[in-house]
Amino acid sequence: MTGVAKSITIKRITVAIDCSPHSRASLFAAAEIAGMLQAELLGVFVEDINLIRMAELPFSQEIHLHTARSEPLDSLKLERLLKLQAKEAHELFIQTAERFGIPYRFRKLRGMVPTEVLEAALGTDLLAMGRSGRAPVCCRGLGSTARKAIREAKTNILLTRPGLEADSPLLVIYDGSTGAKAALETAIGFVREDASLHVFLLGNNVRKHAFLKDEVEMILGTRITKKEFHVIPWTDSRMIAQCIHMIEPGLLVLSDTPKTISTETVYNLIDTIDYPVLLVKSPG
Amino acid sequence: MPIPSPLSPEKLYNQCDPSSFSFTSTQDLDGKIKISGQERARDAIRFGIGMKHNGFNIFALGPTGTGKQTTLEQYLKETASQKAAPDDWCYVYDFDNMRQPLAISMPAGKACSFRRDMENLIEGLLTVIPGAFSSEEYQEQEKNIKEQLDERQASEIETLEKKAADKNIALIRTPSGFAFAPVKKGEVLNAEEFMRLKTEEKEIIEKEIGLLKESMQSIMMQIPKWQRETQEKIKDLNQQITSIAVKPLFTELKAKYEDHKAVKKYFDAVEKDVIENFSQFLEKEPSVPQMFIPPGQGKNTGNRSFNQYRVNVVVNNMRTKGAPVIYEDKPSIQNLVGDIEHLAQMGTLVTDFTLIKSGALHRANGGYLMLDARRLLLEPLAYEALKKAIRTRQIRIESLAQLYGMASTVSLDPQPIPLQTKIILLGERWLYYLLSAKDPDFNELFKVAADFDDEMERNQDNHLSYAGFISSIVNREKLKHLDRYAVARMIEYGSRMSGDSGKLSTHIQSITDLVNESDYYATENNHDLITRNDVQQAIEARRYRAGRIPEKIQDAILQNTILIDTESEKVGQINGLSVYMLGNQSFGKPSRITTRIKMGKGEVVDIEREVEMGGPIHSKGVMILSGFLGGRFGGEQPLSLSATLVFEQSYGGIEGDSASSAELYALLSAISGKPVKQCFAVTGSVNQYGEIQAIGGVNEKIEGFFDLCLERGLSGNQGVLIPASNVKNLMLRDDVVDAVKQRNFAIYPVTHIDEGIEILTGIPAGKQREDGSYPKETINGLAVERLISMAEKQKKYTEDINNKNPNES
Repeated sequence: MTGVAKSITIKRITVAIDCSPHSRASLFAAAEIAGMLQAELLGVFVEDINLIRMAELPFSQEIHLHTARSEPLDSLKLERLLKLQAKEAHELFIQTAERFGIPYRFRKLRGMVPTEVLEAALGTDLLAMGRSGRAPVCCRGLGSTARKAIREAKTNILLTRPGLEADSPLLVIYDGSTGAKAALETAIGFVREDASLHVFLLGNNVRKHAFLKDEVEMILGTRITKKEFHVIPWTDSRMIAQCIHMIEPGLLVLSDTPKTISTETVYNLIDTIDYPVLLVKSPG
Repeated sequence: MPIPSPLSPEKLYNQCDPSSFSFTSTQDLDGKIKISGQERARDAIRFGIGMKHNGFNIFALGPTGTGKQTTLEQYLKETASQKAAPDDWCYVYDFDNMRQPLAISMPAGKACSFRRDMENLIEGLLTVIPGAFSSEEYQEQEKNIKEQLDERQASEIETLEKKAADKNIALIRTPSGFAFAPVKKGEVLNAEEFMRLKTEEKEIIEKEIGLLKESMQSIMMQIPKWQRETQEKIKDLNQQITSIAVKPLFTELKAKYEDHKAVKKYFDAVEKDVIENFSQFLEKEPSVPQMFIPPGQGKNTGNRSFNQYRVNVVVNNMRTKGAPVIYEDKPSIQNLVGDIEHLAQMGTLVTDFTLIKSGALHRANGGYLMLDARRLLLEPLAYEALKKAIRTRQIRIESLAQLYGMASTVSLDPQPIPLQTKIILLGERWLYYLLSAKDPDFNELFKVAADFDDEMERNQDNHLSYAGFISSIVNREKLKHLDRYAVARMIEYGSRMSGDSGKLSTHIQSITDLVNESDYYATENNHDLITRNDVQQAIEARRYRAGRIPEKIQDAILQNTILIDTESEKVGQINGLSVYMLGNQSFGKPSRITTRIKMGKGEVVDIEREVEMGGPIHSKGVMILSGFLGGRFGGEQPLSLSATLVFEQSYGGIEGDSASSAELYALLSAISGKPVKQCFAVTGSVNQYGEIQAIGGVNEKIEGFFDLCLERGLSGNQGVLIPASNVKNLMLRDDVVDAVKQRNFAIYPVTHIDEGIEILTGIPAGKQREDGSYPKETINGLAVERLISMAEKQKKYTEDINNKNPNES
């Protein structure tokens, strides 16, 4: 044992909602976690200041999604649409929170979306959001808000996407670091009864792997019955991503401060894979 | 002319000698059905069955109950057993035209196997297709294709986004689309900042945004095309995966049905359809019971019936030995050519090829189909449908509702099935002749007439055939067997039915009925075998059951309500005999015939005719009398008489000429003035030369008069005059024969009117001399004398009238 591992404490969860499919998935996941941990759910809807500014420009034109037709962007119309979107987000949030029977609050903010979301998450234990939002390049990698959040947020981050099976396995990347131990402890709390826990043991030799495995076994004890260990000798994000893809996890839990791979590799890995991720941030 | 002697008892009843039989009871016989006496019909059937050309179908004509169906079935079963069982037929879905199900023929017994194979195939497909689609290999490939689309879209937009970013322009998602805006340090310029820019800078920004907008629109215009391409790729992948998955199943089936081209072709179509519509095998089983969904309409809609892959076996000859011999009892159009049934569903009628129902023509295809012609003609459109099938040599199923336009739902037009069936219609003779005369198609389509006789020669061979037939009835109906005496009585009854002591009736139904009835009395009498007495009891009981009306008439005669004299002698009065038909029973009854004469012009007035109660044959008979009288007595002087003839107490009309001899006797009695002995009754027709001719129902007539005489008491003088040519028809009751034996009753066979008149009056008729005169004190002599007297009186009367009125001319 190289240190005492502690699970992260989650009492308040912030969830960013923009009514996109990803954000709906994140709301549902956050509400489920909140229900499980009896945490408070804080919903945030941000009116994008960029949009409002753009609508005020004299030449602004909107290209419609399904018809590719363009027409001038009207400020008044935009304001009305944003209000409707906010109302929809609010109602969705309340319905979800009440369904899980959890305490909740909802805030509507206006400003730069990443900045406002991160600020709103200050003082909470977990920030849940979609891997991508309503940005145009919605299907490739992380959205701008998510990217900013994993790099700059002080709180733990939960990134989700729609379309995953609930009984998919849970995966933890473990290299023996304090952050990895915290990630493992947190993951144990999220393993469903019928789901299995997969652990990627990052190390470059057999001894290291054996050591890490013993360590994980000790941490898990009898709490987890279905578990699988995978030796990962690589340290680049692309190879690790391929291994993750083979597992097809329902949630990947990892720390932002591993010692075997760099933090930047962690960020790249999160950007590359297309699975829900719980990034356990190191305190301070 | 010598008068004939009364008939001896032996002439009155042609007894069957039981000792001529080699068996003691019908139990000793093999019990197989042997129909004799129908050689002509059997030859016709043999010919009709043997002829392979079109139109040589058979019409078996003859009275009901003469064993047409039995004979045909017997012959056809023998012939059919030597042939191979015909093919099975089934209907399958036509994937090119759902309204025209395909008809497929297969060797006998194979169709059910084919149906089972298709059912197993469906089960197999439900396993292998989901298995293939849940494989990692497929999931990976499908995901790759989808990701390619995402990648392509993202790549295009990302490129554009980067291009925009290079020019400090951001691509921003709006609530319903995209927009471009100038940015500075990641934030969109607000209106004030933008307005502060130099005019050239603003123009450049606007121009760049305009170009980017067009590029964006161009990308978005291409997205549906990329999506279609992706869908095509996924479709190709799906079909490829399905094709690989199902191929082993189809290969196995095709190998099994290597020799059946049509089936192999069908499998190809099924395989193609399964590959194209693989998704129906991936859908989860519906939790609620399914309603019927027509093929082709239930695809990809949760329909799990897979009707389009099922096989409807309409003809299954798995258990058929030889060619089929079918008798369709209810030859309606649906029962003949089949039907397309419908199911009511949500207020509409739906159908598919699995609801095609076969008809008798399908079942009899390759064999023989027997139909009752009358029933066929009674069924709407059935006869026309049958003719059409024979003419076109194919069975086309047409719904009656569709033909009448009663159902407006979309229906099916199943592929016709080639027809190779010999059709045999069974019917009465009149129906055959009617169809032959009135239906132009009939003679072309039913070229062979199998004419069943209703009687056969009575000889030793046919006695044995009768016994054999009775034995078969006993076996079939599980009755008591008949001893040889009972068989002999049955044969005598058959002879009586035929109305000829030298013939036997072929009315099988009546014989069967009598055997059944005799069995009943044998059981009542605790006999192990049916005896002659049991048969006799059955005959007596049958007569008793039908005897209400004869008894009523008899009572009326005995109470002198109907006047029939059986003792005295009367001038111009005679007992005629007539037969009444009631249902299938007939009985004889005497009728008083009287005649009166007066001066006139030689005419004989038939009162029945005058009041329109006499039929044309009766009138003809009376006119023949005038011819006889004219010929015999009118050669030398005019007949100056007028005679009236009448059937006394007749209220229902008279038909037939069997009383014409009796009428002539009465007329001769009236003219000659000599009385007729009323102890006699007379039957027989007469011609213009006075010859007595045969009549029908002679047995019933004799028995009718005998019964009356018996009731009043047989005097020994009573008797009946019958035509000599009817002697062969005599099969009289035992009591009549016994009475004749004891000389209490007599039956005279008469050939000429002169014989009869002498028997009836006791006075010779008188033979004409060379000078044309007749001897005095003979009937003819007295008649001539009376006629001359009447002629003279008439002449004198005419002269007196003329003398009184000399000016009248």
